[in-house]
Amino acid sequence: MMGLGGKKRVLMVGGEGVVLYSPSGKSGMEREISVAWDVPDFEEQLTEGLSRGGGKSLVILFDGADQTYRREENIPKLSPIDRPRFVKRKLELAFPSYPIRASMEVKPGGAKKKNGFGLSGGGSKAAPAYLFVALPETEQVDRVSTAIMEAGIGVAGFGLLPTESASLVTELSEKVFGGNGRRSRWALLVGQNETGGLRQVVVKDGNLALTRLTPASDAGTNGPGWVEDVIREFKATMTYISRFGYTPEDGLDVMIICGDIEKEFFSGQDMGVQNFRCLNPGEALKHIGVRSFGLEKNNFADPVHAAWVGKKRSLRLPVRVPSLHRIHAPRLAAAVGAIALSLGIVGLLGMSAQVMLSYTSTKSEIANKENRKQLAQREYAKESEAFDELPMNPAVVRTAMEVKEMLEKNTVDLSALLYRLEEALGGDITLEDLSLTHTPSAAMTGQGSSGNLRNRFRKGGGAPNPQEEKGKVKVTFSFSLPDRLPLEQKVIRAEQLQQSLQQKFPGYNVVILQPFSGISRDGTLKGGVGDVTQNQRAGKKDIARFEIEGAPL
Amino acid sequence: MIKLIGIKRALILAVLLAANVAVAGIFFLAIMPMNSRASVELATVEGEIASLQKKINDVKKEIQDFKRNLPRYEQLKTAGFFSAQDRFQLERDLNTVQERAGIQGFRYTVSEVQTLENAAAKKSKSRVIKSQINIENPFTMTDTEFYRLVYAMMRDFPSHVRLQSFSIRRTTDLDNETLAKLRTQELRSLIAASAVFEWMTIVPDVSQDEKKSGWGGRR
Repeated sequence: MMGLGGKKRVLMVGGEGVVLYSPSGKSGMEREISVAWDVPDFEEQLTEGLSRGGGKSLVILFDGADQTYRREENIPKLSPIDRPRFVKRKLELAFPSYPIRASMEVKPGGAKKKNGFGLSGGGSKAAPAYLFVALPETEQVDRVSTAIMEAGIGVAGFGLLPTESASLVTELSEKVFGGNGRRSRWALLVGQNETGGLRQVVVKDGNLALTRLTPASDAGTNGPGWVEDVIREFKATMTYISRFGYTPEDGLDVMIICGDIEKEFFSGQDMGVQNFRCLNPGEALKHIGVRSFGLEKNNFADPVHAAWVGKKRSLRLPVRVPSLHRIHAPRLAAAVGAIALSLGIVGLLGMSAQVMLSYTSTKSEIANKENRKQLAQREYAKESEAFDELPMNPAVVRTAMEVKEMLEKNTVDLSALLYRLEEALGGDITLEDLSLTHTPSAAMTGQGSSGNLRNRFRKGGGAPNPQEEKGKVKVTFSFSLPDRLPLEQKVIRAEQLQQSLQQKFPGYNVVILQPFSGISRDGTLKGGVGDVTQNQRAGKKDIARFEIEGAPL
Repeated sequence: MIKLIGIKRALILAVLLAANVAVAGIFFLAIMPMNSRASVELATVEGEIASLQKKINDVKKEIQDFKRNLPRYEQLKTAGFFSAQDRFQLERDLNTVQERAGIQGFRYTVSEVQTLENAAAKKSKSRVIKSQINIENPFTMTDTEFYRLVYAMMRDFPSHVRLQSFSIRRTTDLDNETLAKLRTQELRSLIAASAVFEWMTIVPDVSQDEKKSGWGGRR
């Protein structure tokens, strides 16, 4: 449904010509121009009139004689996705030769709403009914389209007077007869169109029930002759609605828009209904909240319909007219493009503002940081001065500490080592020789990095691996035991010594390089039985040789 | 097309498009680069401050370390850790060791001074030098005297001395014949021993680029 929004101009299009209304003042409606179809320069006059609109969008309210209506009730219950396609197909089948078609859902009777719109967008549990409308693409519509294109104005929508004014009938009925207590189910509005024809709109329970457009007779569009025509046509309408199920018990509100002069010729008795009221256009407009001046003697209902449509935010049944759509689509696209570009500008300006704010903030921060930088520079200069005052380069002192520490780590504590060795040997062992070799760490020999020592003289320096820093000590010694001791006892003593050394030097590798007489419990054995063995062993000092290796203590 | 949408709309679209281009141009070509430059400038200043702060902390730390390490440095200096390993002084120092060890004497061999690669020393324009001192067959009767010599060497010789290796071997059993030889001084020692020491000190490195060591006192 096309949104109209705000105040719009309304172009009434009828069988005899067009009338243009535009909003005036706070809530008024002003008749701008009217142009008959038979005027030679129709398009030029209408174009000129439309051009004076000052950019206001235009709603076309069509009320020609070519409209066709049909109520379609055989619509099955379908999903919200399938139903529009089904209805569209049904509409095409109903009016195959009409290029202009539209449909709207009609809510089943008895569910009238307060605002008078008996037509709703669905949602009822009952099977929905649809009102189908169609009209041919007439020359009149083409001529209006041409004028609109020339005028360069935007089209907000194209509606049909009966469908749009059905709610007007309900509204007026409630306003005029609402105080009587009993609410009528039927309401009829009769009005003479300036654009041609006497339009009757009948609603039942708020829904459009019947509409008739009859041409003016020779009696003209006002005066007693017109009143007679109206009464005659009203009675014909009564005949029609009786066929549609109207009974007097339902109640019928009849309203006729006419001038004050014509009012005098109407009477309830002539009409044959109880709820009957003649309203001049000014009174009708007042009921729908539109101000007007000097319309008391006007016999046309056009201003009322135009004001009603102009007030609405959207058309009840917008109709897509190809010739208008050809104009409307690019203009709509242009409008959308203009909105998008405007939003683009707004967005870019917003981003620019944001970035500028960020820039300003950054600049301010830079200024603060520059101050801090200057303070830091001053502090640095002061500390540097103190540094320069030192008697010597701290790096040299630090390096000396580091080197000294590295060297100390790589210097074996001989006393601790010999003390433990002495303890392990015991009193029965006679040392024959002893040698010690201390291989320094890679850091000391220059093959490794000494960087890990750098922070040892500083607070919180990390602790490097002590095993790697101290290098490796290898002690080799030979010893003998009393000769009288049997070989097996010597071997046992050597094994005991190995265990003792393992305990005294944890983490060290203790190896027996040479066992007594070259014999171990699980090694190879070569010998003989008898005196041969004794003789071979005699005269040679029997010693065992050990090697222990590990990190310095 | 213009006729279809109207000259007014066409003009509005053109103006809006031009305005978009203009604003986008200003935004992307002027404002954004300006902001980016400011951000870079801020990052630079922050970097400079961080760098300065680090330098300040380093200098403070250096001064603190210096004050803490100076007494130990003076001790090392007194102990000879910064000596150039002068051979005449070495002779005098070995005499002192011999006296304090209480042994009759010993022969020694000292190698040429060598430079020990050390990155930390190099940074402070210093170098670690090393001499190897070999002591062979000192005139010691027993192994205890030899150990005393080793201890005296490590305690009384200028810093820093590390024992690289030693070897001691009993040459004869203590029997009547040996005692007789000792009495006649035919035999002066019951053991054969040798020891190898490394003497390492740190000295200014004048061979580096500036022909001036880092020991000048100031940076």
